[in-house]
Amino acid sequence: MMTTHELPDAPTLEVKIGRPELLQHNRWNAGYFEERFRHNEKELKKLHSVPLGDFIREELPDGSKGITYGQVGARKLSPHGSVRYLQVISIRDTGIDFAVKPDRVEHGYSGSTKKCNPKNSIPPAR
Amino acid sequence: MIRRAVLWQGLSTWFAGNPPFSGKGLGDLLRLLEESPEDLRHQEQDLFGASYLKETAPPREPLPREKRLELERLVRTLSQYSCWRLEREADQEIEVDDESEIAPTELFAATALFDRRRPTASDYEQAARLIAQWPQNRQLDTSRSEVRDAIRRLGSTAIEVVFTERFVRLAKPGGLIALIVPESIVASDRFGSFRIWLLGRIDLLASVSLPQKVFTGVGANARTSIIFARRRAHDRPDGWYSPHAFDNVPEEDVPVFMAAPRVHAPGFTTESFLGRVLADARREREKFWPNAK
Repeated sequence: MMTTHELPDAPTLEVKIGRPELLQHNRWNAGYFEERFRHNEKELKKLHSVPLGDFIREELPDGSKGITYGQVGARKLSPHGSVRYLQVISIRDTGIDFAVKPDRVEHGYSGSTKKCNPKNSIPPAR
Repeated sequence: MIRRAVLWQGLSTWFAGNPPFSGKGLGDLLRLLEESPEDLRHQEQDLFGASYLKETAPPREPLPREKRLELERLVRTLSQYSCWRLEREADQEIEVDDESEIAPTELFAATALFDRRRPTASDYEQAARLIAQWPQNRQLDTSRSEVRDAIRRLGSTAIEVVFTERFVRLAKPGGLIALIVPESIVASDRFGSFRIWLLGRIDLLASVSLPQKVFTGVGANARTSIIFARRRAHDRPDGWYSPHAFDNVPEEDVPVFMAAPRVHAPGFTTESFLGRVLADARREREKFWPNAK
């Protein structure tokens, strides 16, 4: 019984969905039911594509997060931590130089790392 | 001025709230693991054996007693919640035609690298029982593996998930709930099992995704949604769920209203989006919520 209002220039996508269908898809966001995304998903399923989470566990054996969704919080450095915090900037042509960024974290730290943001990291092509 | 008040579970006729998003979360709970024997053994078995990196590390300050008591109290309380010990949603069966190619099995070989047995929902449930029965006047034994696994799991549980369960618990049966939640709660595969857990306790009425810029004025860039729900008079029994549990159950075939902004539509504004959603929801109120007062 799912119906969508998808006029091309409308500011709103509205979906009315019955609970049986909602339960089947288990998504509570209208955007998921947008026709173009549903079509893409069907095509991907034909290719037996699988979610990234099937390769990278969401939680690693040490309790840290293997895969995250969106912002996961500020990085929590600890000057008295027992573990060196390796950052990209510490990797030099000659090897790893912790002196560039002498940060530390506590053992067992599972906090955030900075998100990769290609839009801001990659210079525009000439 | 905001005064701290005691909120009793299951008494609120309606409840509106928004959980804190991400930030520090419950990561502080992991500090309870730092000083126990098992933790030290674990350090000696460091993955890369990079002990030379630790030679110059200053000694760690012990956890102050008050802080430890506070963290223990948190563990005792939150371990009785359900959200942190849910299994990940089982993958849905994939319907494919005969011409599709099968993914080579070697693609999955990477997961075999993690050969330590992972705790299951049942293990966490046992740990929760153990913690619940632990005498209040005795310090929690954080050297026990089941307690440690529980603390690790709790410490890595998203704070917004814990708060969402809290809000549901606060509403009384039949009470209305309106929550602003991060998009992950309604959309992420990671929280699929949590949504199913919620549907055992609430009837979802509506879910409205908000434009990403709505809360940038207060420093929040996360995408958010508002969910409207009613606390069920009776929780669904254990084992109620299957993807087709509501099929052929006429009383469950109630529509759920969902809306999302199309920010690239000509002339889009947040005000016009919200105005339209509100008008449509009002117009169809009787259809969606026939027994609304």
